[in-house]
Amino acid sequence: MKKKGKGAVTGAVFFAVLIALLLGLGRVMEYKGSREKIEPFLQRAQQIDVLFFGDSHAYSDIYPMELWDGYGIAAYNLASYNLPIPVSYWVMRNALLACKPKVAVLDVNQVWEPAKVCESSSDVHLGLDGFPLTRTKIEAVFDLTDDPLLTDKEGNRYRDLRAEFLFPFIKYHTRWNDLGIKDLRPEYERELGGERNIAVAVPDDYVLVPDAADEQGPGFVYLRRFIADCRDAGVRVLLTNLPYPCRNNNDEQLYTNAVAYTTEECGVEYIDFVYMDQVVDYGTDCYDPASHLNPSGAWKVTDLIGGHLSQAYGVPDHRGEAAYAGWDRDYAAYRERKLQSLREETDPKTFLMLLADPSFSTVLLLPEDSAAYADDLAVRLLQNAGRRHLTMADMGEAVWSDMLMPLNLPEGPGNGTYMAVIDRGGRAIGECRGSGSVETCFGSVLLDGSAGTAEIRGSRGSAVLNAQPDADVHAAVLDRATGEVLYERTVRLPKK
Amino acid sequence: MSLFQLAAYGAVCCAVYYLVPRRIRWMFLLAASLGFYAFRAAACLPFILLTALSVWGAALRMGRISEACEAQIREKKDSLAPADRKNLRREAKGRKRVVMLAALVLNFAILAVLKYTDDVRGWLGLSRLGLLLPLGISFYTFQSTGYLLDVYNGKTAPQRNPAKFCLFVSFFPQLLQGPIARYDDLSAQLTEPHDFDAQTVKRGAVLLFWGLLKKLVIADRVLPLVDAVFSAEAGSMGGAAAVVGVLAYSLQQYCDFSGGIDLITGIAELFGIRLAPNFKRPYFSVSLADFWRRWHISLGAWMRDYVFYPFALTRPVTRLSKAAKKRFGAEFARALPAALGNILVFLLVGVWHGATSNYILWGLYNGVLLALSALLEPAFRRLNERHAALTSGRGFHVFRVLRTFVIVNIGWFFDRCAHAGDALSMMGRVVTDLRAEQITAEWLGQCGLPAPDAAVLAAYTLLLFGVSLAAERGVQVRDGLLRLPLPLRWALLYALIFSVLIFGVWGSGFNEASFIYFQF
Repeated sequence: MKKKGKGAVTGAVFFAVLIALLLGLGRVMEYKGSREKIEPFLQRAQQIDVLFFGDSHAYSDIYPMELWDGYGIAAYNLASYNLPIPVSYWVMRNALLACKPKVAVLDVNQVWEPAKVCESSSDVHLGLDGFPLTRTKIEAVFDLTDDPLLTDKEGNRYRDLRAEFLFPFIKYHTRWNDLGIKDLRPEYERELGGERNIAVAVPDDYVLVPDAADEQGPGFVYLRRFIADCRDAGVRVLLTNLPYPCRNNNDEQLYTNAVAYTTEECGVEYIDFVYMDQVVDYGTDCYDPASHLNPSGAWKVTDLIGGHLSQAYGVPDHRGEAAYAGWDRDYAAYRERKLQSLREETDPKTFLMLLADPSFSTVLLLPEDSAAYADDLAVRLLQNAGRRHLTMADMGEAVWSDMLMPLNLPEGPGNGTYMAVIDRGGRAIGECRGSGSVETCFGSVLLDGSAGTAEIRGSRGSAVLNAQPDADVHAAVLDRATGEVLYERTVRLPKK
Repeated sequence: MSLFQLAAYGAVCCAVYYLVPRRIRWMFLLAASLGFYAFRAAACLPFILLTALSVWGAALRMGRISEACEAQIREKKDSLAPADRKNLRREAKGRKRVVMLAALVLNFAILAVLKYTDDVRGWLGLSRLGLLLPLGISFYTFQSTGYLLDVYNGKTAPQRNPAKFCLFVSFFPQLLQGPIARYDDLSAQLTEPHDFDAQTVKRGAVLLFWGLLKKLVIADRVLPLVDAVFSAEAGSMGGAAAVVGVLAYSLQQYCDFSGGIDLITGIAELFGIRLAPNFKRPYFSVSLADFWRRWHISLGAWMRDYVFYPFALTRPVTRLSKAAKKRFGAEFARALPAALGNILVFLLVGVWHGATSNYILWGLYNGVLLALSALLEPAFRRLNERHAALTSGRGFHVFRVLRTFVIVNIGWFFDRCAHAGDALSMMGRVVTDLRAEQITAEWLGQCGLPAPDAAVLAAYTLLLFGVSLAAERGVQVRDGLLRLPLPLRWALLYALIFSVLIFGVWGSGFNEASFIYFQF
């Protein structure tokens, strides 16, 4: 009997160690995308007031760190590539196990999707894997894979993938060949779920369709469930259709237009950015031709939503609260990464796009013979750097482009050196030509056009910007509070 | 159902098995087996039940005929002359033969119709019907007809309980690819209650994971290379590629089949049931005959007992043997029935693999070589004796092993190529276009075996070779492992388990459950 008992204990220990090893190894082997996104959410879940859900539109268009910087909103973006509304619904259900936000924002771009899940099972993994194995997650997996005929793009039946959604090791054990140091020490997401896609693309022509389809398919079923379940949990819902140059593929617009009727019936707000075409400028704000925004566009959309959440939904400003000190640290690191992106950017026009960053003040110097004057996109990007962001209060008002483009760039060469100071700390823009000075919140900036230099007299001392003789644009990125020069670059545009 | 699901099913059934009362444990096994079959192929359940019940009924009927005959003899003990007794027995045997043949014809007809209809229609240029091929039909048909013949020959008493016989036919681990068990070996083990024995369960679990390692880490990893070489358009691969392809197939087939058998045997051991070994390290064989005694042992034994011997003892063959004795001498005459028997057996085995020219040629190749080997065996023996110093050394042993390996691999060309012509063409290129530079890392990568996969494959093949060599030298590897000090033992067991989990080819997109022999 004693021997049997010892055997049972040894067996139990063997299996306990086996399970521990399996869990540990599972963590090492797994593709880190989902956990890197969801683990930081779980760590700060109790502090979060706003959650964003949806597909890549929401993922790449909403930067929670900017919401923190601009409005003190504690938000997290749980949207991910290619997630149809049913998957977003289950992401929400899993997220609500960890936190109780004040507002859930869902982007409805995928409401047209006829299946509960997308063709790429990897994208569903990305959305769900990072959540711990709970009853809700099991429910989610069984519900999303209940169609016996639905297959992913590799031809695997979704129903057969249930085990790997619950135990992702089944999928990722093949990664032994790809393991790196990052797999042992994963770098968790510090941008609160948002993703900056940095490029400037020429957009496709887009078409606005006024008609609406009938409400049909799983997208609408789960949209209603999303609204109802959030309401039951005491979470307010805001629906969005984030901006993109829509070509009405798959009749997408017909379905997103139909959402207006659903939300009216359910009594929730729906912001259809596709019809608010002054919010972003597709000429400067597209990351790819037909879908996603680059940071310039995302900063505008995020700013608008942040203001609206503060004003219309009463989402509190937590800046300065001791409990939220970690958010400030994360923002500082995020700002540093943005600066790094500016430093590393090799494409001149993309660099000009990044100058629209609300975290920094900017000084622009254009020599009188700058090639930028002859380059429409360069002019547009320079204007964009000083562009005013719209708010919900502007909606319904007539907003003209020149109201949004405050820089008075010279019409062409021969007007002396031009300087613009975009003072984001003081929310003001100053310009001069030839010579002169601009007063800012951090001090003054003096232009000496004959020498092609500008002197910045900030609260932490002075610095001189010296445009190279063959420069088309000379740009300096400044700390918006002190005027300290963080980075400067001479931009030479490609010769036409 | 994947292999892991099968293993998990086995483990869960094992746990329940030891929890249910001892007297109904066999019933639980029956329920688990039929449940497995219903889950895997519900539509095929009537076929396996038809075979089980028809064979059970036929065997019982034969038993009753024998009993009636013996009772009659006992009753009239004093009044019957020995000749009358003999007549009664002959009469009974005749009636039994009718019953036996009826059951045999019924079951082999089902097998033949389901297995060969499409092949035959293909020869006739007709479209395929895609008939249902019940799971494990060859294996359970051979297993039950073997029992039928044993009952007919009086070697085994008929089973009176149809449920117990059903369990013998449908024991779930065996349904995938055998082994073809003998009633005397297995039936009692299945129906007697086994008590939990930790050592037995551990042994079973180790074998189970070793089988998974062979199948998932080695066989399924080399599979893309084999497919790439053998599915390439005829003439597009050089001779070296053909050699690498056939060696890879050799490895794949061995690890696929023997790995599957280890898995099955391991699951059976979890219940305390020991299945007869089906492989005995065949690539260490010193002759082709030795190889076939070590490869798919249960099929070889079935063929030997129910085809080879009955055929060799038929009147025409014995007459032929006698005639040969006069012409070619006693040695030749003794070997002739065996030679003819081997040709017949391998022709049948070839046809069993498939009614296509490549399998028939593969069967003939092996059968003819074995026949020649049997006929020339006296000459070789004398030659060996004359050069005893040379032939008794280790070097000659290694030579014989390598020679057998080459002979077997030539046969695999027929086995693996879809058409006999392709096999001949590939072998031709081995002779005419053998250049080592054809084999490059880039080529292997294009064939689905990039360098890291090749390294994993090489490492585990070496491990397999080491373990097999140790076993060949009499080391009980499994027992040795389980006797090691606990930390080392656990480390090795975890290494075994995680080798399978990490380096195994399994999960979505991999159909690891399809054993090569599953199709037969």
